[in-house]
Amino acid sequence: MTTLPTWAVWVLSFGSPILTAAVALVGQRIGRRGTQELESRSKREEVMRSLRWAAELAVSDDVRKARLGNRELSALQNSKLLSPAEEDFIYAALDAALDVPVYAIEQAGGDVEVVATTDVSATGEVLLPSEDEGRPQEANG
Amino acid sequence: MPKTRVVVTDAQVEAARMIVDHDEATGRKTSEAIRKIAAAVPQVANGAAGQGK
Repeated sequence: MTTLPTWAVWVLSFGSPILTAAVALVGQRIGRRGTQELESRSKREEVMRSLRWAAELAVSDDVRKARLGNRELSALQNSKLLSPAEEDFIYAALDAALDVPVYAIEQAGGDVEVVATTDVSATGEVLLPSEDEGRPQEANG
Repeated sequence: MPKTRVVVTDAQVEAARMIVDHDEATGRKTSEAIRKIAAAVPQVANGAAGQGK
């Protein structure tokens, strides 16, 4: 009959289950980290999809869609889900939404009156020379 | 020469204000045209009541 020294008996009795538990713990940690990375990547993709959607809405000729786009962009900006570099996409979209009126104002020089309307049929591209300059102005210039 | 009137939507005013706020927060200079749009006060159009601000 083979006999083992006492320390070997202890090592075999307790070491083996402890080693198994440690390996399981490490495996679980690695698995959890992988899940977190996957979740983070998936959330990030969703945020970028939302950003693209909001940007498309913000530059829409449909005023209601443009309003929604602005609010979505604002919500994304406040959510802190975007990095500072990605926040630039928000302002690129907002800038693009203003291309036409900004160009019109720059072309007109200083002599321009900006009239804002909540009219949903307005496209933001209307340019009207004022026919009655003597009339009191309704909006800012 | 007649004064040029540029009509913008309230959504564009909102966008301009967001840009102005961001530029002020980051210390950038906003273009004069965007400032003019941001300063415009949306006039409620007939039949537009309840369409938002």
